[in-house]
Amino acid sequence: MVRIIIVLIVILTFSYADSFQKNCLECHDKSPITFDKFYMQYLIKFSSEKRIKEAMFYYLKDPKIEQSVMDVNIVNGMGIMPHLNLDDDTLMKLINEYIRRFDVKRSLH
Amino acid sequence: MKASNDMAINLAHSEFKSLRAFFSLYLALALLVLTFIAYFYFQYQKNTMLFQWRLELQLHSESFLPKLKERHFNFDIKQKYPRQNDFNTGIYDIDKKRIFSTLNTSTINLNEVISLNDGYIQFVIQPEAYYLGAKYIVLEVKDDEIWLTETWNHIIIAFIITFLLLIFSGWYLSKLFLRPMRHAIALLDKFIKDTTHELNTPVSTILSNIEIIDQENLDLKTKKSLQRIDIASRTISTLYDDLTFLVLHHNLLSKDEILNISDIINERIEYFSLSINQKKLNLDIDISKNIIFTADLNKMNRLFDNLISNAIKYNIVGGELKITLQKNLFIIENSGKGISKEKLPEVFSRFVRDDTVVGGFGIGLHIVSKIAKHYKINTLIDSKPDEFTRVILTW
Repeated sequence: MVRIIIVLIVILTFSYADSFQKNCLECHDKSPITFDKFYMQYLIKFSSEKRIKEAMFYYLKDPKIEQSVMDVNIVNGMGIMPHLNLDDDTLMKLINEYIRRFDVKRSLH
Repeated sequence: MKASNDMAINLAHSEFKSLRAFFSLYLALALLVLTFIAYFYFQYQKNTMLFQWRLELQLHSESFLPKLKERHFNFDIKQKYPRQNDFNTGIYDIDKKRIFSTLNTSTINLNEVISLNDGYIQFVIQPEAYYLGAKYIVLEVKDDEIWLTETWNHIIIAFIITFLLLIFSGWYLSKLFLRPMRHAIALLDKFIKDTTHELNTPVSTILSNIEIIDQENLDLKTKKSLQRIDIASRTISTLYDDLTFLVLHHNLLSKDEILNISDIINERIEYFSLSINQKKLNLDIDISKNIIFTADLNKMNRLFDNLISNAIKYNIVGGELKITLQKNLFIIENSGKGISKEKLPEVFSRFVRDDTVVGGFGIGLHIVSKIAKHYKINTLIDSKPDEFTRVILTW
């Protein structure tokens, strides 16, 4: 029973990781602006994790220039990101994963 | 009745009681006021100290903020939190959650710009942007508490000096305040002493002269007049004995001795025999011989005189008067109007009278209860309106 649970966790982790790779990193890894910089922009604008998640979710549901945290010139240069067409639950999980990877609290020492 | 040379009214006691009440209230108020003043002075000193530190910490924050900003924009290169040597810092997000902290205390008040918590002075600033997510930056230094020691020293010294001054001035004021009362009491005391002395002399003269008159050679009419004078004089004498006892009892020289109560009661019945005969009362006496009790003779006379005189005074003409004395028991019962149920519990109080038709001050039973209480004699009064009144003493 324990083995089954461990296997399921591993599968889910990899599936999330796989989803994050597919929906986020595939584009952002190729971007001239590193992925963590987006988080720092959200941080300087929204402060708390709760507000950052709300802002990100709102943007990712319907990406628009006026809702982006990046500079207008950068957005125009890079182009606005495409609609992900993902359900809310999956979207939230991707956001959580993003924050987990780049949250300053984990790195500050 | 012998009295000491002290004042009739217990002035020292009265004065002490008034002084104690006044002084207690005065000191309590003085303490309250001084405590308030001390509290406000303490707060003033604390705020002055915090204001001075605010200026200094403001300067420190101006050196810290650029470092935090630099760390935010170069976080990918360096994740070490900027630390300072002369003060500690902590950063909190917009939801007041801790991001990172080197603060020594966990008690943080983000609503106050400058505050003192757990021995640390904390200064809170809000940067122009949320560097590393920080809406609140807390700068902290340890309070050396020099201001606290100095403040407490000032408070204690000022408190003691002021309190002593207030005590002396209060004492002087209270003496000043009591001076009119002292004067009035001294006058009243002189009046009471003069009155008892001046009135006692003529009454004693009347009674002693009545005794030496040869009544056998007098006609019936004159004899009856003489008897009425005798009764009236004895009544005045008894009244003033009671008044004297009531006013001066604390100064009376009391001498307890072994007394034969049976003889005392017989004497007092004899003393009131004229009044008993005048009212044509049926006297029923059952007095056991040689009943002994240790007490002051004058007080016992007062006690039995009042009971007997009341039993005669409130009796009807031709009524019944029954006196019983046994070991540890004395009963006096009289016919007459009786005492109402409502007034019964209060008859031993001073100046309380159920029947105001018959003369008197309402002090007789009060004197009886005072003496009985002194010698631990139990008193019980029973009455049925228009039938009887019965007083029972047990010891």
